[in-house]
Amino acid sequence: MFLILDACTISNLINVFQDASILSLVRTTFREVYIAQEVFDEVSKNLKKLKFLYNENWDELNEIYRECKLHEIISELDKDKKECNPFFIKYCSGKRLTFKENGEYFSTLLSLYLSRMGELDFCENTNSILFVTDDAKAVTLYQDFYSRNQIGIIIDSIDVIVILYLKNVITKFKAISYIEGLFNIYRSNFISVKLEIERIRKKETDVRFQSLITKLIEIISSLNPVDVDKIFQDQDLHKLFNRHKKLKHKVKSLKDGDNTLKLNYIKERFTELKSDLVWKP
Amino acid sequence: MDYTQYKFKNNPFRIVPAIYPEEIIWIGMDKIQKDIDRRIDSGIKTSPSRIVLNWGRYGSGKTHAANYYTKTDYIKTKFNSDTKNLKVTLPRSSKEPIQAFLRALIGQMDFNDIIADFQKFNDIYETKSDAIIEAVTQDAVISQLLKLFLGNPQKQKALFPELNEPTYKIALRNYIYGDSSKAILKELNIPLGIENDDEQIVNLISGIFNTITFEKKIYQSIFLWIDEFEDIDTLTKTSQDRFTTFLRQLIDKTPNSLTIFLNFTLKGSGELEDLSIMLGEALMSRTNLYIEFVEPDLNEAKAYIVQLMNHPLYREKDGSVFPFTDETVEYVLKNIGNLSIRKINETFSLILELALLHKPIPQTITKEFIEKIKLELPHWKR
Repeated sequence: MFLILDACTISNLINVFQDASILSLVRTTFREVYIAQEVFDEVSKNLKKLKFLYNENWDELNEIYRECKLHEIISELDKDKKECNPFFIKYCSGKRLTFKENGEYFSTLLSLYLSRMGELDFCENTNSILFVTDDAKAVTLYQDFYSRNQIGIIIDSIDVIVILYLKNVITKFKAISYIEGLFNIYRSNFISVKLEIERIRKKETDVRFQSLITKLIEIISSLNPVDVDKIFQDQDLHKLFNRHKKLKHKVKSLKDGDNTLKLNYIKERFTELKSDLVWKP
Repeated sequence: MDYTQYKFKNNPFRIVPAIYPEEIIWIGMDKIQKDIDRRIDSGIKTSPSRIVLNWGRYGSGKTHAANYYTKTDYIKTKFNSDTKNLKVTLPRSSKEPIQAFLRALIGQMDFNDIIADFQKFNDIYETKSDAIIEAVTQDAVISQLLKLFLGNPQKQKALFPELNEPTYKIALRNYIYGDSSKAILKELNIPLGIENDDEQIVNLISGIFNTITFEKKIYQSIFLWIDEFEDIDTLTKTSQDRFTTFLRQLIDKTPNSLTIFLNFTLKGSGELEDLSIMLGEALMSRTNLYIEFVEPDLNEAKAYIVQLMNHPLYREKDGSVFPFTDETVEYVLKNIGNLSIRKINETFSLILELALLHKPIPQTITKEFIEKIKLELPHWKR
């Protein structure tokens, strides 16, 4: 079994546990764990972005990332993965799929390449690849590609944790606490928007804008994806965003990340594991 | 803006929290007040410590309740009782949340007041004081420290004690705020500092709480409100665990006369199940009391508006909703969606402003006037 890790998965695992050992556990459990060079770069880039969130803890976090020695798991075949790029482009144009050259894209190339390049023979590793990503958009985009091309399946970091739990590598308590932590990470996006809104509220003296701020908070707090989507169609809120540009940016990030759906999904997994709906002999 | 036009001393619909205690008033929300009062009453009369979870939606009045119950004389007058009422906002994005919490708490309690309370304690229990402190703290260093709170005449080195604070007192304050330099430790004759030990901080706080509520003599109870508890997820996972463990230990080690109110704004469709993810099992299992900050219904909202407008702070009581009419009030309330106190205040405040800016200023604010301006009201449902 090959495990190909995406940038957001690596960050989630490390940020939740605040400990490098989780990655060694993953590596010893799955043996063949790889990342693409571009994913490595993305992780380092994302880490810098976390600075504002973790402020004082950032140096510590940085150290943990260093301890993970991520460069060690860049696949030896990584440089060759682009050999299958022409095929991938052909597939996408045939299926009318649009993709960006991001971490998930490079991971997918790597997955395809590894599934075809066996040690003894071509196509030795078909359907043996587990691509781990926590990016819901990537799942929708690449899911069919993985199955039609017999590469393997796409799973997420919760699945990896559940496997570790099933294999007795970690306790159920630790698995649950990962899901809790993940929930809080996705929730913290809401909190950072909320903090920004509160900062603005303190300075805002106009009761009309105060009301608009309340309206915005109510919509965001509903965690209802449909309502959150409508935020940018609202004429009144538009006035608020014009007045506070930074806020618009933050709210937009919330919408782009499909945060609301994700939170509901994580909650479901939490309940499943807690109420023993994952069979462990 | 000149509110006297409408016989008001000031805009009754506040959109920012009051600063002066006398301006913090409780209007309407009778059921919530009764629920909280019941908790206060049992906190005063009975001994077990409890955690009460105040939950409700955004703008439902949780922070206001915390302010009202901790910053005004309400508890003292209503229950004829001396209680310590503290409000601390959850430390956000802090690397050392427990230390930050301790500092905020000591700031709220006022170091000098703590010392004064310990003197009172010493006056009551005299020779038994030391033994009681040892019994209520399960930590030798902390009990040694707390005994210093009783005063230590031999240590008064100041030349003019009436002018200068005794040096041991200054050292004591610095120690509590996390200074454990050699000089301080030597001055206090204590082996260890408390800066990096969550357990010692719990022991310190519970030791203080246990002493000043001993036999309910000085204070009958302590009410600690932690506001914006939902912000716990701005902390890292490790810090979150530390903080919830800290609270659990605090309640375990302060078995008597402590009530912690956690203010929690619900996100999502209002399920309480989110809570166990946020609080952690340990704390959740110790939280068995809930107060729901329900949103007012139409009648409660109307009653709130009448009472608020006729509060002596804003005008001589005449019992009316002037400049509004009953019909206008109902019309507005029915059209702004889910009612929350914040939303009501914002909407009516804005209507008053718009009326006063209108030329000519309307004699009364009628439904027709609302029709004209309704598009300017952000909460108006379209």
